[in-house]
Amino acid sequence: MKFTIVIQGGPYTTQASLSAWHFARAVLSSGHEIYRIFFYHDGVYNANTLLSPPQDEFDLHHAWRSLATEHGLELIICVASALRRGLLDPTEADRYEKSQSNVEAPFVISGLGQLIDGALTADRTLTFGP
Amino acid sequence: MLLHLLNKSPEHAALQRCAGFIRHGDCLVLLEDGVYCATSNAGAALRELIKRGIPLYAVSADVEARGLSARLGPDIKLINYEELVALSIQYTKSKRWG
Amino acid sequence: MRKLLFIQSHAPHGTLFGQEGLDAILAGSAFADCAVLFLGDGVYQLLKGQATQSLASRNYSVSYQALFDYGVDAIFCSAADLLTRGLTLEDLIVAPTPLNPKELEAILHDYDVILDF
Repeated sequence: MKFTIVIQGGPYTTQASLSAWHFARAVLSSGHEIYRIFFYHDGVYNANTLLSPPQDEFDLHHAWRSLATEHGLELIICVASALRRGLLDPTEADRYEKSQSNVEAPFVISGLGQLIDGALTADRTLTFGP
Repeated sequence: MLLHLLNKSPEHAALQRCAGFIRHGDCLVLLEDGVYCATSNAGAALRELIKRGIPLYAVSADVEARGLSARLGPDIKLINYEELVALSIQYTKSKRWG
Repeated sequence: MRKLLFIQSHAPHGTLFGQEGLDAILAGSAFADCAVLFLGDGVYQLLKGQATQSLASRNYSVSYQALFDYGVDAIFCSAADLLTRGLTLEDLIVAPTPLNPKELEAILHDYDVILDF
């Protein structure tokens, strides 16, 4: 079975991202496939490379990156949501003349078409929200 | 067959609202703060779902984190995330409430 | 072709769910058969006369008029939610089809994928 997972909550403030991460891991450990992971609304905040939780707490940003890298996944964040909330990769930082960027692979900035494609193509779509 | 995902405690209107949309053949999964709806003093909305025979699940990690393990009603089945994946396959689509 | 049901459950302006939900609906309309259901406070998304200048917020409600142009003509709401909020169809920018509880339950089960906002 192919899954699309939509995350609408930022890291830590609500549990959405943590639940989604646990679910994503379980999809893979159950032998199923993740077709798309799409961060929308406040979910884009998960992409921030500057996230620096206390050392003795779970590093959710790192956890998403490890999961994606280990399984060859892209973590898509919606471009409009991202820009509005200050998540920029080097290309967008350049375009908007910002002094720095805070999004890098495996987080990838893309459009809402990816959400729609994910919903239309996967066998199951689940949304985790605030 | 719809899997209803609820992540808000009974203090919110989410459970009552959700209950109005659950039909025979659906199930309800309580996760995050939604597991508070699974306690044995849960209100009329949950009791009604139990009476109707709607399968009720609670994510065990969320129950344990909140210290609710000894406080759940008898009709709630605890599930881990792999079992949640299995449910999401068994039920053809999902809707989140909250 | 899969049918997508977008559900708008939030009132406008207090959160960004409504605006981002509408963006998703318009994106979806380019690729699939889409329907929109306004549930609970979501019906307030359609209230006429949203004047956002003083707030310095964006009046995206005008974009709801474009739903038909985008091929989204399956627009629904809960009749009860309108009633409890003292609203009639004349108060709304576009007129959704008001549904009773049984019809609402059916809509939820009729579509292939539900995207919640």
